Amino acid sequence: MNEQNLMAFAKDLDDIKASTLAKVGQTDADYIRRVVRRQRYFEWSGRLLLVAGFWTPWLWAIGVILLALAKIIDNMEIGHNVMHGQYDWMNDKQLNSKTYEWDIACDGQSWNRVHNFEHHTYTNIIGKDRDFGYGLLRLSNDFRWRVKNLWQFVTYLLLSVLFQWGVSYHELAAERVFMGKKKANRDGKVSHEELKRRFFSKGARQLVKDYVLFPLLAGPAWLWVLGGNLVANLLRNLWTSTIIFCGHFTEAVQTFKEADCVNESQGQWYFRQALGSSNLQGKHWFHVLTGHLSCQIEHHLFPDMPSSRYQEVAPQVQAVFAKYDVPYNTGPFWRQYGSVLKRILRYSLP
Amino acid sequence: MIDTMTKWFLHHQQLAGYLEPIMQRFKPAWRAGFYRAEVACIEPINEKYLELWLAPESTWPIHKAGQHLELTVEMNGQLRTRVFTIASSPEQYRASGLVRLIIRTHELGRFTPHLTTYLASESWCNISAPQGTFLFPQRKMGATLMVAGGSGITPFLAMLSQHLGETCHPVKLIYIARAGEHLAEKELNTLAARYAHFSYFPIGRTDFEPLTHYLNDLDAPVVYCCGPQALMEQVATQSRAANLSYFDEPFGLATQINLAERTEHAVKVAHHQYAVDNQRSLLDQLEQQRVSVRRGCGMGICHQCQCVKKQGLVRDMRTGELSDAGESLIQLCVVQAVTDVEITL
Ligand code: FES
Repeated sequence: MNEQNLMAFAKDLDDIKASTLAKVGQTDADYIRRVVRRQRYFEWSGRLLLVAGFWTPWLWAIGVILLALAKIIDNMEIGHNVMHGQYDWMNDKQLNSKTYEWDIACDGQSWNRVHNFEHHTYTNIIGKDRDFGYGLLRLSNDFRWRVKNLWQFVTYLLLSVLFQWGVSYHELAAERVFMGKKKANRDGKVSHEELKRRFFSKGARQLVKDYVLFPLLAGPAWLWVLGGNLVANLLRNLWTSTIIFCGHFTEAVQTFKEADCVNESQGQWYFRQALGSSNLQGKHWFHVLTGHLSCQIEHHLFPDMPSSRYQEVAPQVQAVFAKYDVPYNTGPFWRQYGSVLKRILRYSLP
Repeated sequence: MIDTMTKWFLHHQQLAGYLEPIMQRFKPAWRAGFYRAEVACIEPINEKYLELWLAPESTWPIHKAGQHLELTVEMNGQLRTRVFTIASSPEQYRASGLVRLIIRTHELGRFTPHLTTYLASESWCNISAPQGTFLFPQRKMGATLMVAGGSGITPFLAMLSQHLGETCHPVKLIYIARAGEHLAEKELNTLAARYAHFSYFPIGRTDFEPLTHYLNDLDAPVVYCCGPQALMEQVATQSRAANLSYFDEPFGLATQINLAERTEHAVKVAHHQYAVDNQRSLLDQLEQQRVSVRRGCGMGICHQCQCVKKQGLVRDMRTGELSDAGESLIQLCVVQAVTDVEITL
């Protein structure tokens, strides 16, 4: 695209953003509160039903699913979006990006720094966006091939299973808190001590909650509760990891060089976000459970637009993309996920 | 104990915050850290003022005459807060369970013109505990001179109805307002008829004489003033000149905003002041002056630079929208100051 087209492209997207944000109001506030309410219902009915595993495993299984759903909704639709500041306009202390904390091992503020700033500003710029491959996987030719990439599919599976810990450790790994050579050019915004303290305290609290406190409260049903929490956490990890991979690592997604973002215009920035993301198609409930990361393209164009609006703007964005011949990468879940797996496998070889 | 558990395991500051959305199903406007109040009646007094009677929930700590409260109303999904003086006495509250606010509606405001839309009678809103130290001196010896300007009459209405019966020293009220816009005239006249030691002078905006003019029959009174900034400054200086003790209640700031012109403002951060202009973003200018602010994207998407604005007006550079004067969250990288502002980082 030439500079003129890029400007028109940016203008069209800005217009969508402005007209949508102008509509944001009571319905969006009601929506997010309704989601929070459901999350609470799921969580507590789930936790109660786990105890019922003592009588019949069926109730236990339903409990596990409810608890997993609660955790998924908390992390995705509520946590991710609230911490992006999408609902800050409500002035509600409980739904505010500066104070929100989620039900996951990762410290909210740490994630906020790495994700909201680095990943969203420098999306898919190799060397700046550490979310690209998480420093574990080789997902493009920008990285030199190493022997360890041969078994990166197994690494990927492990990462998915332990995803919450991966996310939690992410900033510490990048800052080389525990190992590796400190990078000279990194101006750490938070001291290593503080990073470590928050990493351990949040992680420990999560472990205590799911594997000590609630099992203890359940008395003789402790094993059911402990097992249920374990499975619910596992389901949540697999789900979040899968959805997130679908958003950035499908085959068609492109990467960029650091030079690409120097003095970038708004149009170029939008364009880079567009090429660096991919969407998933599905029903309303599916979008909610992905935290609207199924609308990854829209989310990357407008990171702080309330998630309640992504489904509505998606067709408008798609139309603008078509107008300027920008590829709009979307597809049903299985196709996109298949494409992710292929990419992981493809780059495990030189 | 419960709070610690909530913080550790439910990730909320208070259990109430965690339960809030569920409680709101049963109790509208139920909110952690706020009191609830039900609207008993909301009515325009004239084109400029309206009267709001609220029934606070029973746990609300009773106010003292002259105090104000923060009124929070959910308007189109957004919680907006403004401060109003309570224009009724604690005695009235004990008798009826109601408090009265007299609210000046600003045509272009983001709060007052919408009140009638969002607050029907029997709807619910939130209020804070009463606050403020603009109080009638209990057990005081001597005369009192009150000077009210416009809506600055409200604290005096509460004080007079509460305390006139308890004192026998002279109390004089000078009430400055546009002709025909004096509020609560009947109420004040009734008080004046009932208490011989109370006198009441409604005057026009240009009729206010130097303070000494009103002192003839008063022996070294304590001076109280509430109204526009300019009036309070004038009365303060004259009281000081006459060696009288003086108290005032700063009221809302009336500001003229001209965006085309470059203007300079002070930004207060903790105990420091920084000079900024209204042309560039606050983030750029604070950084330039080596304030340790957190910068992320610098383009308004990552919210790393977000902070709490305590007071003052800022303008969103992207939309041109002006903020509220009260406390709100702002993103330093995309706002400019249009008045003096105070922020906490
Ligand atoms: S620095 Fe990113 S929003 Fe201000």
